[in-house]
Amino acid sequence: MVFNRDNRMTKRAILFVILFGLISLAYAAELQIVVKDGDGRVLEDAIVTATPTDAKNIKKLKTSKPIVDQVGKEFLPHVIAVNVNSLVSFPNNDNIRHHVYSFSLAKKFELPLYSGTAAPPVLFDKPGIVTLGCNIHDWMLGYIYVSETPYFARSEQDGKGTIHDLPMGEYTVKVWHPLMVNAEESTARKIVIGDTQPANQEWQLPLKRPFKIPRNSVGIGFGY
Amino acid sequence: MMYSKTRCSKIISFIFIVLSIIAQENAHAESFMNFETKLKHDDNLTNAKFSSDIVGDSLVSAVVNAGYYWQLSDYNSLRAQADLAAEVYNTYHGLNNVSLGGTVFLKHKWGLGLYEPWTAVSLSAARLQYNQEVRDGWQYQAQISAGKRISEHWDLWADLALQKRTADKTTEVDPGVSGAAFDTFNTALKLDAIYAFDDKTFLTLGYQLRHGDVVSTTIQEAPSGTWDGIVKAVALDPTFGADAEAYTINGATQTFGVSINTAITTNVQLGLEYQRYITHGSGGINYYKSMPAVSFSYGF
Repeated sequence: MVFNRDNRMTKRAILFVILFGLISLAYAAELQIVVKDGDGRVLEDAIVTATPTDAKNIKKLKTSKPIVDQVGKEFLPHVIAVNVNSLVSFPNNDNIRHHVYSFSLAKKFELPLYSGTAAPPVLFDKPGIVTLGCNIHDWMLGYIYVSETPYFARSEQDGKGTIHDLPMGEYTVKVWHPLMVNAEESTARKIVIGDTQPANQEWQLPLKRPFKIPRNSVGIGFGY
Repeated sequence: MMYSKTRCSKIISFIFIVLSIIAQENAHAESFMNFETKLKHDDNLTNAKFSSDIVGDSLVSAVVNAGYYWQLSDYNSLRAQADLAAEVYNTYHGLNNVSLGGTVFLKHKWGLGLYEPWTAVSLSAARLQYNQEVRDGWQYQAQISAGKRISEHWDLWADLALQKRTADKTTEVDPGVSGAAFDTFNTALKLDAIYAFDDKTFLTLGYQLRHGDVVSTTIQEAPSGTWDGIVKAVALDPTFGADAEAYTINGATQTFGVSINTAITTNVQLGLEYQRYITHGSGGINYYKSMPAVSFSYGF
């Protein structure tokens, strides 16, 4: 009799732990972020990442097919974030050729003269920031943030973004922007994703003065 | 003269049609058209040394460049354009002119990246037609250029050009002295630097040293001996009066220029510029000129 009761209690305890674990895994929260500049104005193109303290919480999310297009002699979008080991495509929807390149440590590459979608996608296999340029049009500038964590978001024109599918647990969240004065690490915060939805975080980033090479200043009237 | 004008128009039209056909066949050619107009003042139209000969005037100029650009390979590009220009003077209408020509640039970039140097060669030719036909003729230029961006803000380049101008009229005025006063040949070295304040506004600093033939016009009779031994050619210059004469001598002109341009839309640019010319000619025929201007440009 005592033996039977102990067995039932043990089985119930085991079942409870299993169910609790499944619930924890199934529970996915959102982190809503707002990014502003040093003057309090909303800031687009900031990348916020959330890295779980417990590496077991990193899930393999659905793979996306990121694209950086060339439209109107500009990279579109100007900034994207991708998972490490992503293949990024570089179609060219301008009716002229571009010669895309990067010298960044995270990925050095060159897509020799092409137009349309002839260029093969490029594998970004190291985390870090990749700065894009065009060898023909000096003013073209773009960025790819290659993230080790699958949990990231880009702020839109209203400065807002949402990181989805976050399992419960503790995270280090950081923000990066191409014009930020301070290092990304200086923005790091520890947050706990619990059963209170949604979590919110806001950053205010001092920025460098933006500069872009003028289109019409190229020497001897070659300018576009 | 009419035959020359018709022939000129036909040649240039033919070249443009050929370029258009080539461009249509090549899907990667990019067409362009730019328009620029300037309001300028020239305070020494006659390029004169003596104050009694110096006259100034204001003018409006307009230039249209239209053509095609090909990225031939990763590091080579070709640009071919037709150039149509006109100048209208406020007082000295004899200087009103129209020119029609073409230019070809072939450029090579020596590597990948923002700071790689480039070199280029260019050839241009234009027909010049003036109200006062003594200046009618042809203008040719062959030029090599080199440049390099040295920072996000600074871009530098240099040009070395051979410039030839031929005149239709070469009637002798003084016996034994050539009448081809507007037949000139020069070599020119030009250095330019652009500083971009931001993506819309930039400052250009320029210096040119031009050596060869200079043309100076006298309206009043010059002091005796002024032109002895230094004149290469002389012609009447009726724009400035019945007795005005244009003299060609050897000389060197330094030009210092500064301009500031700002893009007010993606297509429109406004500019302010100032150029100062300092010429040292044979026999102490030295003269100075200032040319301020305001400009409006539109890129189609």
